[in-house]
Amino acid sequence: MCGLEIPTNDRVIVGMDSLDDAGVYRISDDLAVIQTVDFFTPIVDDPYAFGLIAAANALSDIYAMGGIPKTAMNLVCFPLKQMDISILRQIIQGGLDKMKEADVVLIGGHSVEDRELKYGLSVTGFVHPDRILTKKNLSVGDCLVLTKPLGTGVINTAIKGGTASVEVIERVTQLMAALNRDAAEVMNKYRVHACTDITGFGLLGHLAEMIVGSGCGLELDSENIPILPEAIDYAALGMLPAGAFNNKEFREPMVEFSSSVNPLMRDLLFDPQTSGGLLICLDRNEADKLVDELHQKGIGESAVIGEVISAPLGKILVN
Amino acid sequence: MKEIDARGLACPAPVLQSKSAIEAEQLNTVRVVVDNQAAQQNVKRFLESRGFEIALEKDTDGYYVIGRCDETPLTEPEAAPAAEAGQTKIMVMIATDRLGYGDDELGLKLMTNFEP
Repeated sequence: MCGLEIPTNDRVIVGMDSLDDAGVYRISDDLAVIQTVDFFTPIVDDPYAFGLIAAANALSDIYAMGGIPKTAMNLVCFPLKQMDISILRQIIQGGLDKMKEADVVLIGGHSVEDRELKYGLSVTGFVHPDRILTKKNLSVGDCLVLTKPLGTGVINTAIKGGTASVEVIERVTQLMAALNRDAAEVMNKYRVHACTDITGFGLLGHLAEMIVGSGCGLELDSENIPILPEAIDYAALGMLPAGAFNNKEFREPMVEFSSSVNPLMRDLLFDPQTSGGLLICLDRNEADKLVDELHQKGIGESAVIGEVISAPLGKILVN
Repeated sequence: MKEIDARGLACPAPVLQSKSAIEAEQLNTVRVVVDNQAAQQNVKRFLESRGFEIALEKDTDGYYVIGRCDETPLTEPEAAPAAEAGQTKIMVMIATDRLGYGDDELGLKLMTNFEP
């Protein structure tokens, strides 16, 4: 967007100047509309599973803003001459099933013929203007809670290389296809100050976005960060996606690792995630209660992973 | 020293190519060239996991990973046996009772038809 003049108006609550998980526009004193769009190339081989994952991924940004998704439109790029249309049908069925699970109605879509297959959604949701959750507004002393384990990037690369077992593929597919809705429902009962979802920039990349220009820093306890069991092994085998290195190069200047943090763990904290969990920043007195309630709701990997500190400013300490 | 040219390959192909070469030829020294730093880092990690000492270099024509292993490189439990002189043997390990996934009925049928 460098150099482009982007018009705005007073009703835009979250727009291009803040670049949050989604855009938010005030309709009235008690209603705001949230808009987001997300699509990508296949993550897994099974078309139906790809549809589930792409839909869950797109819906997640609405939950991360504290809102509820209501309608969606399909975005399809399909190589009509090279691929059978039945594959597209399965992808869209996956998307539809995920939308049904989220109580979101498909109201349209757009397809183009393209050499490379892509699928995703444009999603509209709603939220009360006073309950919008952005990536900012962290308070010193707050705790950070993560609701899904890390490692989908490295495992997806292993899948691409044909070195992952069927069990691992099934488990990671289920993880990526899981909606953040239940986590958001629990979260919205608490005094949450900020929220984002962990996707392509990796945990450290998304955390870095939260503290840039914020007047605080973060301190993480790496032993409490949930990681998929096979992720460290695949990282050791050199299965890190290129995105992990890009993320590291971009944000490493903001991160200070203590010497006890395993080098492979450092890599995983930059691992780009697909359809990752929510990163919730809330009052420290409520963090344990939130995690307990998330566990009771079946979101068993949720954990307190760190806290917001006053110094060093703009840095993430990882112990 | 065996040189492996993995330029132009998308992740994780450079690692997989290095893996095949090391296992098939039981290499103690290897020089892998890739065209980007991410691949260079991944190959480095892979070789280190197999007991290699690594040196990294950058040249006009690529990023190099030079690996040296004083002892026999570590192998995974399910590694294919080394080829005997004059013979090429290929071992395929299928860890499930059906070939492929997504269609169990077809997968089962394919497995019963498969003749090693």
